[in-house]
Amino acid sequence: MNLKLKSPVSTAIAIGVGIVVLLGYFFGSDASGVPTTLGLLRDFLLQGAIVWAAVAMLVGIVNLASVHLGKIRANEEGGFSFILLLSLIITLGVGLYDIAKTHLDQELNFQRTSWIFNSIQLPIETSLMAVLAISLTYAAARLLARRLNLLSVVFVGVVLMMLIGAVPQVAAQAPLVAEIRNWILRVPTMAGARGILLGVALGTIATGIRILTGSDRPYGG
Amino acid sequence: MSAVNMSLADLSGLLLGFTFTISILSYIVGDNFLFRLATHIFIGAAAGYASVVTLYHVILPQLIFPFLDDGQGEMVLVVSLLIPSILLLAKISPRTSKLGNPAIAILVGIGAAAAIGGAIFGTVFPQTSATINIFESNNFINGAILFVGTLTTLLYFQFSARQEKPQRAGIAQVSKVLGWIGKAFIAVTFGALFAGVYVAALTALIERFLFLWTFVKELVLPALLG
Repeated sequence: MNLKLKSPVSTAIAIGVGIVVLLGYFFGSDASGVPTTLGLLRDFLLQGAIVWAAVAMLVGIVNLASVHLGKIRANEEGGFSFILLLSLIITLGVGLYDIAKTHLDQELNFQRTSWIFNSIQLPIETSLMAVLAISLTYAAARLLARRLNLLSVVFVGVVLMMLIGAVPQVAAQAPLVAEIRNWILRVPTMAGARGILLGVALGTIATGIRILTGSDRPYGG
Repeated sequence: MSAVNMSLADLSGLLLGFTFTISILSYIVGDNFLFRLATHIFIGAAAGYASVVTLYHVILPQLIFPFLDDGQGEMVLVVSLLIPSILLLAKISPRTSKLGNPAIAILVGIGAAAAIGGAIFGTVFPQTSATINIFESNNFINGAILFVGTLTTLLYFQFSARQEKPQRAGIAQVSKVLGWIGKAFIAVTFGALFAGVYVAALTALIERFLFLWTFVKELVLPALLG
């Protein structure tokens, strides 16, 4: 195990805080359900994490803006970067105006921000989702063309069965198809999903333990 | 939808929606200027919107207003939230970036512990107990398939480090066969998930085409035909 620490303070903080929160999960309340000191500390740290994550997100957005500002200065895709920054500044400006107005009038007043959301974000997000339908069709077709084996046939067969069985007319005309579809969902899909969930959870626990023991230090420690 | 009964804001909102929908759907014929323009506007607007939501729902009520309003008891808590927040802000500049490491360490420590707690209490305990009681809610054949499927899928994920000495041939063969069965269950699960995502995407595609058609029928054609 490599224990050469670049920043022992950060490592000690991560381990200490993590162990307090983890202990808070197991010994967070006494037998009568009253929160213990560890439980109260865990709640405070989790509440704090929401605030710090929000600040970290704002730092990320400032970083996004500075990267695009750099691109404009370097004249590297400057036009698109300028549009991105303009869009960010307008949305942020309108949002801040709405926040100030809400605070001063003491009533919710977010029509302008909602208008931006409904006119720009919503149509673009839905359209990107719509483009996904075309991409997925293409990907499924390419899967069979490029890698034709038993597992890819099983995959595409299940996809077709799920789609055909979901059509109400098919379910009415051929109840067996709908029944097979439901069985696939209820038994093998459930088994695979449960195995994947348990696998992901065990992987998460292993990664978490590596951080809490200081083996992984993704904070520059 | 009729242009006569609409406010200017509604009309311009619909026009923007129409333009952005066409721009994004143009990606079907390949990457192009309109698609890039729309995605850059989207990223900017989404980042701005996320900042506004974060400021209004988290930072102002939990950090700024308590600092300005409350008494000394609350002030200790607020200051203990404020110090790591200020350290995090140091991450903005590469020169002061190192000052933010302790605050990131706090976030990573809490995140790791919360992930372990969530994985144990939210997934491992309930999914294991559901697998143990599998035969209570299913007939024998379905129960056996569920049990074998769960175990082999789990076996497919190998958490152990690579061994220096190769495994014995028999064990390697058994583990390979079990892993392959697990892979088949994963293929079935991903097939079902793929179908679900595909149906959702198809619904979005139909909704967008319906929007475009309604826009043209109710607003564009009447304007063109007088």
